[in-house]
Amino acid sequence: MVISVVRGSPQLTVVARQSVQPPTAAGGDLRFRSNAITLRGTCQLTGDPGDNPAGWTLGMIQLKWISTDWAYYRGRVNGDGSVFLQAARPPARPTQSCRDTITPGAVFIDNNPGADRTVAAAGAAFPIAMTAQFSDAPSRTWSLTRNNGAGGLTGPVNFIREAQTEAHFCTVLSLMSPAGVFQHLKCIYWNVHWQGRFLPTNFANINAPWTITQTGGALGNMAGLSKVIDGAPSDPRFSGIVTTAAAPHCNTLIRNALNNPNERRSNVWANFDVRH
Amino acid sequence: MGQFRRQTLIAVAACLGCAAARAQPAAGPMVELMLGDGFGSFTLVNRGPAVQLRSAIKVERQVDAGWQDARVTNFYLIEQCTRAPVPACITLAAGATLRPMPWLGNFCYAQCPVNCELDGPLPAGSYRFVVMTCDGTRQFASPPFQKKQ
Repeated sequence: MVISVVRGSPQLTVVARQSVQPPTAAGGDLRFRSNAITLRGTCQLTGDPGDNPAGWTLGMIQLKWISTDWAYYRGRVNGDGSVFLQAARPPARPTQSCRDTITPGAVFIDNNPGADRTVAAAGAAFPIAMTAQFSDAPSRTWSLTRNNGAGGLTGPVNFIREAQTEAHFCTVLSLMSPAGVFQHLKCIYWNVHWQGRFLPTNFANINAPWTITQTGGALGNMAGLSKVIDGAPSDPRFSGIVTTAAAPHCNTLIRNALNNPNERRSNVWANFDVRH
Repeated sequence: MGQFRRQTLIAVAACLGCAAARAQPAAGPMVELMLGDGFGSFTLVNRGPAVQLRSAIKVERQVDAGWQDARVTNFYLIEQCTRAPVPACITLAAGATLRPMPWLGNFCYAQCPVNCELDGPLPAGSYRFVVMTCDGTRQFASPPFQKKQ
């Protein structure tokens, strides 16, 4: 008998369900924030006496597979123009799917040291209880203002008028053998959405309160969560990057995309197609 | 949120290796890192000649008897949050003082508003800040401090 998972032992539990907070304007930034999701995975390993469990690792793998990130700025008056920033399409964001870790190139989630995985020790007695737990609270920040000139550095000041962020994730409970072979035990899909319109109450002082109107209907500002699914995710949009070494790194993608979004400018209050 | 352990503030100048240490003249860079009152705050004082420092600040966590990179990102030698790109290195003049924006205790949203996907607070433990000369030959560490959960 080789070391294996005790049949029926894998569990993926939602310890805390995520939720989105209403958008806020403060400190020069528009902020989309969420309350964290906490997921806990468990399983038991079994084997024969003499089998060495050293190195068997239970952890979580998280893939982001949908990104929506755009913002529309406009001047106080029509003649001050408008700007559309798109951070979820190439070239700002070359690809939608990515693996979500602190360390680029890592496979298992690594933001909860000491608890985000269990590595079996040599000589541990079977059955071995394995656990992995982490929390995640996605957020997004946009500047409240942006100049209408190239790169946002010159020209009339434009004020954020509308923005939308959607982040969809799949989190996988996975067991890795010492040889680096992964066995995906459970997975779950979850997401967070924000969308709103914004207007300063005092254009001369953006630190004064803003009028914030949540938009997008029932799906505009919400957090979704699937049931727990047995086995590996099968969606071809991201199933190829679950463990591949070359998977894009989510934090790097989002930093680059938001630092250098695709920019479209107009001399008037224009309507932009937010899909592109 | 954790808090600093109040203590006498002692600068620690750690060399990257014995060879590098021997190569440093006595009058070489000497930067003192002093912890502040609030969690995550510290001050650099240049006790030596002008020095070029890497803008990125490392946070190290004590593990057993050693120090490990805590993998904190987006933490820089900047006194104010800015949307301008942070240069790779800055010059700290002789006798100059720099008070970076404090560390918030997170992996990614470490200092100023930044867009992150995965993030989270670092676990409780003993930590220290480390800054490095631009050429990487010297590093200067703060006294250790405690982070609560």
